[in-house]
Amino acid sequence: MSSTSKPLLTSRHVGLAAAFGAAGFAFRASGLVLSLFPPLVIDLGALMPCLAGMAAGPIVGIIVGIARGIPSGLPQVDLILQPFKGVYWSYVYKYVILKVKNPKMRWPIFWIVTWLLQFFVEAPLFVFANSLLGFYPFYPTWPITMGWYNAIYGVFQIVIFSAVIAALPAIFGWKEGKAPW
Amino acid sequence: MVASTTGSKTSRTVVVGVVGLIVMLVVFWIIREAWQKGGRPFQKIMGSELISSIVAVVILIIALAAVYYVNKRTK
Repeated sequence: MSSTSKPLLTSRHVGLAAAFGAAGFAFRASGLVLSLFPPLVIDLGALMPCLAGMAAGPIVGIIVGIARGIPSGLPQVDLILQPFKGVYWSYVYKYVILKVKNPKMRWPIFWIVTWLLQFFVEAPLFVFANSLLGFYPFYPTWPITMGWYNAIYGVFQIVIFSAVIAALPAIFGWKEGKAPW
Repeated sequence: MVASTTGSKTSRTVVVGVVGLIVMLVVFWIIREAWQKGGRPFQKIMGSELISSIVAVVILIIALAAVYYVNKRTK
């Protein structure tokens, strides 16, 4: 009887960590953002830990999150929360989204989960962390004062994630319905 | 024999890759401390947020091309 265990890191993991990590760092370090309408901007670097987690699992999500957190204005927040995003996105993608076998159903579920994760997980985590630093109170900043921003940001996150996955389905195991990690 | 040789070659590649990732993160930290300091130096290019957004999209496409290439070479 032989048992095969998946290695913790493969050359695919390392390569994707380097590619997504460099992108995450480059976006935040340069300050290049997508300006949607004032004051709403979207930092594409903040999406890299999520995409990396989906494509290559939690360890790569953590590495990319660290790369994204290093150039942050608040590294004490981002060096914890960006890797955490990579972890929970990898598991939600593998064990919730890809469990939907019908591709026609999977897209709308993916959109709903993306929005819910943005509004009810990511946003409160960051608002809470910033409230600990004394920038503003947790309530009513979330969900009221910043609620409109988080709601719209979630929609743009859906658009970008969908575009990336639709362009590169093989990297995310989308067609097979199986996470490639 | 062949399998073990291949296995050790693969694991050596991964070890080199992990060392490379650590070096990459150290270089990122040096860039932060020496130049960027947590700011957003290119939030506006030539005073324009539009140009900045276009450059951001170009970088995203380059990054995704790199991801595609890595995935193709290593799967």
